[in-house]
Amino acid sequence: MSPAPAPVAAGSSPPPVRRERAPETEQSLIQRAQHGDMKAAEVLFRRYHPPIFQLVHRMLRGAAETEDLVQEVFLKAFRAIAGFKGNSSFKTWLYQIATNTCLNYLAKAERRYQHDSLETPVGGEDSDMTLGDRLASTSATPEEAASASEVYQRVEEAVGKLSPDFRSVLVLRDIQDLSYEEVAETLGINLGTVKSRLARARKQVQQLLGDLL
Amino acid sequence: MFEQQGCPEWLEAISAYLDGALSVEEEQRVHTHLRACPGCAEQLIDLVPVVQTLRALPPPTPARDPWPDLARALRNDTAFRTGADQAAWTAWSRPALGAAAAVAAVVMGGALTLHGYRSAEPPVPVADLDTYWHQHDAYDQDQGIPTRYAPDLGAIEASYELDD
Repeated sequence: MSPAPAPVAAGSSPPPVRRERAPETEQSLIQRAQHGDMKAAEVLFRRYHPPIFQLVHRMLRGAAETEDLVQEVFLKAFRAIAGFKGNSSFKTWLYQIATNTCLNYLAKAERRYQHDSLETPVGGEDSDMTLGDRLASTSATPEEAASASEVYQRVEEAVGKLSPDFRSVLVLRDIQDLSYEEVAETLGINLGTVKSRLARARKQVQQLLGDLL
Repeated sequence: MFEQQGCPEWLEAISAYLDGALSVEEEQRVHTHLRACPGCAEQLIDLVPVVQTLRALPPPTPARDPWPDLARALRNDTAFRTGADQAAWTAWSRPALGAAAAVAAVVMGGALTLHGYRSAEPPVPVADLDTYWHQHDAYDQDQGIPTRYAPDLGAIEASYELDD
């Protein structure tokens, strides 16, 4: 049984009730940012910077240009926000800008530094061994990779070795936790392609890690 | 050690099965196949820790708070400022209209007093309106916004007054 409320002394008023302001809705913040409101832009930025930073960091394999590219993503987004009609969610729209920016950057970087793919044959013309096989065969044993941080580092390296197309699907789905539909919308590919690329990307990471996990 | 190889054509279904992204019928087909194919069953077991570890990767942290640089760039950006210019006009016009309304109220109050009437509510002093508009339209300035990284979002949003 709950205790009886304390009697209010005659002539005294009850303490004022503090009304908590409800957090502003995302739609309202977007509308304000569309009118050049800096504070609304900052709230949106603070909300989405951590996942976008993570996405760009993984896509660029932790390259030094990560912070510059994140800056570019948000600059592009806020420059274009007046044209955001809400046909997709703001999150998906922002992820589209981020992945396109990363993929464009990687395509330019690839032209500069032609990198080996996992399917690149190694060990001579008569050998069926690919670069992926070679990397997996040189993986550390579980004893060698004792700590969790080492495991994470090896996983990050494996993700970094995927092709940009595979990496983007894997990062969006398994690291950013987007649904299959959101990944498809973000990358502008169909659901079947998402499933196919994701499966192959996971398989490649598993092969690269060998017996680590 | 001999390892069973999974069927390449089943890899996609097994991967989607891990995410619970299959229909009931597709799941049944995967179950049937897994019972009959040790290689694919092993493939499924091997993929589980991969996905779990990917999801557990600690997020990277930026070296510095990028907002001050971004805010500076946005302030100088024509595309973003197009909206801001409208907001600035509104910010200028609202106090002007408020002050005009207050002056009109004072004049009206004086006129009614001359005629022997008194308003039940005193007119809002102009000074209070100035304070009100100052507080409500100060959000286009960066003063007062914490500059350290990752400030309390709730505090920012709480300070963000809604228009009437």
